[in-house]
Amino acid sequence: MIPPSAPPAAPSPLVPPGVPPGAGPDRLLPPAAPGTHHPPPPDPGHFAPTPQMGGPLIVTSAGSTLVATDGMRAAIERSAEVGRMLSRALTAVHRAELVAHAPRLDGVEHAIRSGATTAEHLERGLREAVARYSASEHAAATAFDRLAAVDGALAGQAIRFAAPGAFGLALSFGLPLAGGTALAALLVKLRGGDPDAGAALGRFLVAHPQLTSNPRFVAFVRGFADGMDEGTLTLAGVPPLAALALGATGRTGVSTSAGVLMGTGPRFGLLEESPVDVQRVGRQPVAAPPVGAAQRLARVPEGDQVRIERYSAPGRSDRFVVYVGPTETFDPKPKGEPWDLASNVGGVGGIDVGSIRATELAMKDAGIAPGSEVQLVGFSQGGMVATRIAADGHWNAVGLQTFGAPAGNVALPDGIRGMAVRNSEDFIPPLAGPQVDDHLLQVQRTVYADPSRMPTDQAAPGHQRVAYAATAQAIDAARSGDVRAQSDALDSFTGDYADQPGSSITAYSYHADRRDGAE
Amino acid sequence: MIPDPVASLDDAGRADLLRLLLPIVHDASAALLHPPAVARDDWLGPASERCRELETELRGRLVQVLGELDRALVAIRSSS
Repeated sequence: MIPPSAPPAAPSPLVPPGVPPGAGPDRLLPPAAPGTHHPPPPDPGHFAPTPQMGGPLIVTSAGSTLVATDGMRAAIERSAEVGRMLSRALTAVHRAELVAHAPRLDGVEHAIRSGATTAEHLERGLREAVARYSASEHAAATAFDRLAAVDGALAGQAIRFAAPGAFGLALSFGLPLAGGTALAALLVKLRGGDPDAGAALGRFLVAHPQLTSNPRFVAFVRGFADGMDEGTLTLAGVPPLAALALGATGRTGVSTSAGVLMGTGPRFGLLEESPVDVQRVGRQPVAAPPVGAAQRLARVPEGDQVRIERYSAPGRSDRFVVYVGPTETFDPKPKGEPWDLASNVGGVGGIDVGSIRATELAMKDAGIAPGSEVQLVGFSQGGMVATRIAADGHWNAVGLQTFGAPAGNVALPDGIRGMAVRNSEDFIPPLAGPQVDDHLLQVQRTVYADPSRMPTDQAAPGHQRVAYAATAQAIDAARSGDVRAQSDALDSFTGDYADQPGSSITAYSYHADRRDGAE
Repeated sequence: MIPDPVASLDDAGRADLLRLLLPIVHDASAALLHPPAVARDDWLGPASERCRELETELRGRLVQVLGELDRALVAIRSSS
């Protein structure tokens, strides 16, 4: 027994937290010999919505609470530009009148002044419209959050009396998160026509994707996640009013609940962490850097979970882009795949889960040093991994672009360029609870403005890669300065190097496995 | 009778005036070609309607600017 005065034993730096004792450390395996690795076949693909089928981009700039569509922002910028142009024109007219013996240009001057006044009124009117739009959005969200908190507090108390003990505790902590991810698991599993996954409810939901892709359902999931902290407190015996007050302080939340779920899950054989093995399985030259969100999303891998591009230019330090793939399996019992449900839940809970550790091992293998400039791109769980790594002070993350990532609860440092993209029909991002970070541009968009055009052969259509590809194309066509500036910054990170004489781009592919008995 | 002010300019003065006015014509034309497009689906409530009215008014103002400039340029050229 360790005496009370003895310092606690330092954990081994090689054994990741959460991994059972004796399971061993994470390992970086020697690169696979050329021709020995056969990547999984690509996804057969789905019906792809066009950008024209969706709604406008709804944008929240970094460091701002103003919510406005891309069109609103572009209109404000354009009216301001017209005002400046007319001001310059007025100056030119005055200069013209200074020309020797020049006539008075009263008619021209009057027309320009009238135009400038109208442009100013238009700009002011547009800004007022944006402020009202934001205020109504904020008021609606606040009212919904309060309702969710009350609902969570009452639900927690009800569960406490209905299901006491460890099972009730786990149920309350993890119900919303596990429910959402299990639903995703079911939907994805059924999408492949798995005959074993025969739950009638699941088939019904797959056959009616409008239900799970309905913005009201997405709001419901967010409310569920929002109310978890209050539910947790009342389950622990805190009176509902006190739980509401504590929840309002922001010291509890979905991260706490997810962490507890990861702590209790292994008792039931679920959500167990394990060491990971990472192997470089491919290396190839790349002709050109990606330009735009759609091309970046297209480079996010699947099967082999991580792709890293190294940009080299004479006389400059190497730059890197890390692309992280989505969840490969939603099975709550780990079976060799680090991009699984355990990594989803634990990652939301702030734990260094297998997919995060595997990505960081790959980064080290690719030669990324703590000071190297890195841009991260991720889809779904890959977006969560990318965000967590960008938020970790260990790496010099300068750019980040995520699609459908459950990562709104991760606070990012200031100064990272890029954007977090989510579809309005996608219920995965809200699983991370309310949006905490305000340092990264947020872009949201409805993929199917006409719900009747939503495909009925896809599970969770709003979370599909093709749905995000349509949104990415809409982002690439954005007109507002904020969205353009962030997209341009991401483009120039790689384009600046690629334009240098003697530069080169090399892509590395990595495959990771859990070492958990599935081998 | 009020003399035509442009006619009183010498050739150098008219050339200077043309050089100064032509860029204004160019800018005004560009603004007309690319007006601040207030998208129909971007707006909610009366604020959007007012903005659309202002946008229409602004286009009218720019047309007026172009018209006045055109008159001035015609006067300069016809007196040359």
